[in-house]
Amino acid sequence: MFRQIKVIYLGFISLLIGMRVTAQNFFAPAVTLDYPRKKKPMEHNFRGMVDLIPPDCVICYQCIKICPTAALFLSHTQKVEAEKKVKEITKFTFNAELCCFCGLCDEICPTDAIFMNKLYEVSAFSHDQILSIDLMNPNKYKHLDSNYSLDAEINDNKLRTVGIAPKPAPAAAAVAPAAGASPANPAAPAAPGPTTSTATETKPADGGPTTNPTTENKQPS
Amino acid sequence: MMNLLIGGISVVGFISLSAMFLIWLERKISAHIQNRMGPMICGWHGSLQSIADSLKLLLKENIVPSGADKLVWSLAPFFVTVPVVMAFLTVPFSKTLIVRDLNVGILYVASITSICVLGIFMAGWGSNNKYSLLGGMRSAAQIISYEVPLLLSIVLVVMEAGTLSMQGIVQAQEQGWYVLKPNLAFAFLIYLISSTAEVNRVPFDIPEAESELGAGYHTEYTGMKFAMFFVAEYTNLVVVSAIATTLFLGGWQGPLLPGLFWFLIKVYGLVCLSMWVRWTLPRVRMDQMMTFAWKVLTPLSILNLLVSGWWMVR
Amino acid sequence: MSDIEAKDKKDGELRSEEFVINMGPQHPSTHGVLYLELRLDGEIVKDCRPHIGYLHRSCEKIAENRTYIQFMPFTDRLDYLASMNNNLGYALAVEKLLNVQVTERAQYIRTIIAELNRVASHLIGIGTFAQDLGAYATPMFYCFRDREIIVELFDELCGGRLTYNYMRIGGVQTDLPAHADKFIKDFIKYERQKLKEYNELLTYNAIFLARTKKIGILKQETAISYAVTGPMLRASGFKWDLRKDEPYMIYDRFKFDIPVGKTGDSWDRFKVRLDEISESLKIIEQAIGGLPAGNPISKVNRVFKGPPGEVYMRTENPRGELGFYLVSDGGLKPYRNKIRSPSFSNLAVLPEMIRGLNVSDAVCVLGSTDIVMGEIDR
Repeated sequence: MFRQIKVIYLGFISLLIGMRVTAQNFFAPAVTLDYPRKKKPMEHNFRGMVDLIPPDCVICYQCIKICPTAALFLSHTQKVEAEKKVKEITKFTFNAELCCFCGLCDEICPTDAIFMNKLYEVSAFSHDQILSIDLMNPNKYKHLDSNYSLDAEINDNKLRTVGIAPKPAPAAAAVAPAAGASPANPAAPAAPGPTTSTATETKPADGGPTTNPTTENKQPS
Repeated sequence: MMNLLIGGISVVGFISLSAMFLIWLERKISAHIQNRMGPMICGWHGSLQSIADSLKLLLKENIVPSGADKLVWSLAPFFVTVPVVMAFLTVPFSKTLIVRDLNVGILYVASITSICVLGIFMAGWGSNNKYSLLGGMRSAAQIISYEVPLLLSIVLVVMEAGTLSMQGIVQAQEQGWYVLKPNLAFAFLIYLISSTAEVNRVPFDIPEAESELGAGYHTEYTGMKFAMFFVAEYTNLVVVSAIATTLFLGGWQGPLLPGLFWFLIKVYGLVCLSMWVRWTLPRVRMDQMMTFAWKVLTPLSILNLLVSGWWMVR
Repeated sequence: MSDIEAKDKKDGELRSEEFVINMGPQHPSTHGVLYLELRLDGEIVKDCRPHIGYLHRSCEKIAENRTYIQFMPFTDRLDYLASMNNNLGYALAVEKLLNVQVTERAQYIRTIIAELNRVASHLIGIGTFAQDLGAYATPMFYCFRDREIIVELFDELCGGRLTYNYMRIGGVQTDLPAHADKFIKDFIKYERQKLKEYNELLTYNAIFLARTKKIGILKQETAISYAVTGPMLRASGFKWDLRKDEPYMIYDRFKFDIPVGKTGDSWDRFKVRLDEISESLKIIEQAIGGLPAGNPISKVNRVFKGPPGEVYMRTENPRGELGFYLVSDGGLKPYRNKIRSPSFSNLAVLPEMIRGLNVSDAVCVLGSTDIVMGEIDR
């Protein structure tokens, strides 16, 4: 009988100890922010929506080949201008529904033209608005988030440590690489590791899904 | 006559304001225990959130489940709310503020609050939903089982005070609050545990548990009827805290401030204690709950009663 | 078409009926879309049959049409609460196939990140278990608050908060940021304090003990015959952890214990998970103390063909043994990629555990198995 009473007494004390923990946490400061009045600034490497700096794109098709879900579509034409063959983008769209936000396109782009911006408060009224977002348009995300500005996103992108440090583009000065490489020095020389091998001799059809992946019929015997 | 009318209307007003305040208080206390902030947008720190919620509930569509027993189903919220409001008739808010000081005050309160069981059972049966019925039956079993230790603790206080009238019990505590006496402190503890079970709050909230099957007896209610269940739960909490204050904590007595303030401070203190317990402890299983009521609480309160009685007449 | 059919039975003069309830795919306490068909007699569960497949996304078929690097984001979404460990398992499998050596620094970073994700995953398991028992969200919010610190570090590393795509064939994607050293050491100190709090709030709480002790007992022989792995197997008393028994990467350099339970009830499973958090913190402490300098990734061609052959690589996920069986025929894409998920076997043993228990206990046992439907259905 006394053992039963002791069990009940000890059980009651354990409940009181638990309540003390809760009381201590009651007086601790809150860890959440009063959203939407206060917002948390996203980290430098945050993977938001896909964005593009059109003059930097060298139309190498690496992002199309590496995208696991075929969310990017690119087509180009060749013109002759001042006795030189010049490539020009005709259409570069992004399907936000298929995209899995993995960041592989950002990582593999040799000039860091395609990158992931910091947008996360996107919402659309209809499906068509996200199925083919025109990446060449500087106001592409304005109707999804009215605070969007391409220049601000390009500036934020310079602090990214993921992906390849951009080679100095022919038109721009060599300012961008210095700012991008400093926060993580061990990363910059090592990151180009996977890309130093030659890769351009493979055909797009082998490298990954360029069209609907289910139409690929590459099963070996 | 006029006194009765004014008293009744002010009690109903107090209850409505109190329920809205308590909903906000519960959300704020739970938020701060969980290291977050709770409602912040409507009004200063979300104080107008309850008004927004009530407006929303008023504007909801009144859906009657098909196959429901219409009379029983519609009357159930009233059977739950009205007895709780009527229990406020004899609660002494201060030395002079009491609607009617019946000389069987505490007996009246105990019997009126037992009618709530009918309402819950009616809600469970009338919904034509096997999960609601399960929830309703469990709740009825739970409330009836925990009435026994509750009443035994109240009997101890009545023995000590010598009167059933609520004002009389408060005045008998002029020499010292009853909670300072050891046997009555034990009865206070038993009363607190039983009253938590009466009000269907954690750790005894199996009837409205979300992670069990369904959502209990008030699954099929929307709009104002659901609001009445909600209000009834919080008002029930205030009623049992008010009774605890009157019986054990000296009612409206206190040094400097007028009686009403002390009464409200004590009642809301007990309500905050109940909320603190709610957000800490996990839920007790149904059969464990019944075992606890019949095999632990009832023998202990009977033992308490016997020992106190023997001490009083020795 | 189910072989769970309600039977009428006569019990003396009282004729009672058994009935079948669906704890359907949408339910607050089945973790994910799981459909449990329960045959009840009053409140006692007589039989149970889980139906899965509501989250099937053809992951293994998709793998046959993607190159090895392209499949990495898909492994994130298997057991989405322990993304880094899935990435790691797949990267190790491909490295075994290609016979690639990983740099020292990459090994250390991989260990630290994998163990941090183990801590995060166990925290969620503990928090949601407490919520299923009725401790309305308070322990869950505490666990999520602690996990938020880990997730912030991962956000800084690779940009994702749940699906990371961080491990690469040959190493990791980015190096640790400069302040990661101090950040992780502060986190270890903070978490050790908070573990004491969890013990006070939950582990020795009288109501928690009453709800979980002797509920859902899984005997050792049953567990082994059902191929149960991970904390569930260790809670039944069988000391088996791939990090110690078949060490991969550099786990043989660290000193840590394997917590083992005694009876195999739900409390033991909870306690094993809680203890594993402290053991993981020990590993992280040792790893970050001895982090060498170097490259976070070794040179691997961006486009490579896997040599013909097959490989099976298994790693210790927070939920058990995750295995990748890769068959390559010499092309750019694998011929077959079979994933052995731990939660699949852990769920299969559920009917054995809940026969004869109340419905409330069935919910508790399901919470203690800590399954993730993304892994089961792939």
